[in-house]
Amino acid sequence: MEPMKLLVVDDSLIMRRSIERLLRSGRFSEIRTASNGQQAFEEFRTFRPDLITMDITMPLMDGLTAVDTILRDNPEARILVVSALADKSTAVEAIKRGALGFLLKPITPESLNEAIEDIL
Amino acid sequence: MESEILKVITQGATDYFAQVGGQPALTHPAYLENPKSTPVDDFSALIGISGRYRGCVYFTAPRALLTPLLERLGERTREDSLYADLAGEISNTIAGNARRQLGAGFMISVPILLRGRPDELQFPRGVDCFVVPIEWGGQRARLVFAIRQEEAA
Repeated sequence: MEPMKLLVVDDSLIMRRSIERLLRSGRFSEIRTASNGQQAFEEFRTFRPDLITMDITMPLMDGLTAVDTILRDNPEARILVVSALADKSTAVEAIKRGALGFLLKPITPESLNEAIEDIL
Repeated sequence: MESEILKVITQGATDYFAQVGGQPALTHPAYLENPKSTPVDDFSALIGISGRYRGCVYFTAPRALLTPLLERLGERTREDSLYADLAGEISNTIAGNARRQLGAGFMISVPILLRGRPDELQFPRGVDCFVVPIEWGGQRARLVFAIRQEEAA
């Protein structure tokens, strides 16, 4: 399995650390984090990750706007939205904007790995 | 409407602790509280509600309730910032999950982490303020909310 790069985007430090911890021992050789959409885009441009996990409700730039911004820069970017927003329309909107998956919080190791397997 | 919000938020709390904490929380009957004397524990996080609903919801918990949750999340350090962040994530998840029933018109803000009982803890006027006690791991947290549905234009 080829080592991959992951960018974890969430305004919660606990969530960033939790996702990083869950995925560090897997296929991702390098993991970076960002705490809002704006920072995520800056990281994306220099880091060029193979996968991005993206929260939605964040300060400065929300996750859906970040999905738009990143995909405008690189339409091939692979983004998994990880959010607590449980209504169907939010998930549909995320997919419509180009995210490849939507995972509802709270996450479990199993649900996270399964969602990532589906995307990669 | 209040009973629907109450039901949804209570279910969200139960589900959160079941999934992250490994066992569901026991929620006690909600009670009305004077907005000036709502409970505030060691760590609290408030979510503002806008859109078709107006108001706020906050989660407040003692350190002792949050410690085992941090452990289950793999955290070994015991910094206050992590406890506060966890309170924020819990309130965010419970409020966000409420949109499954209440719809996208139930718009939530990013969590505002509270220290003590700040002056800005203001509830919408004329809206009842409810407290839902949550028991988990032998400790008690509280969810406090004051939310009204906006009248259709």
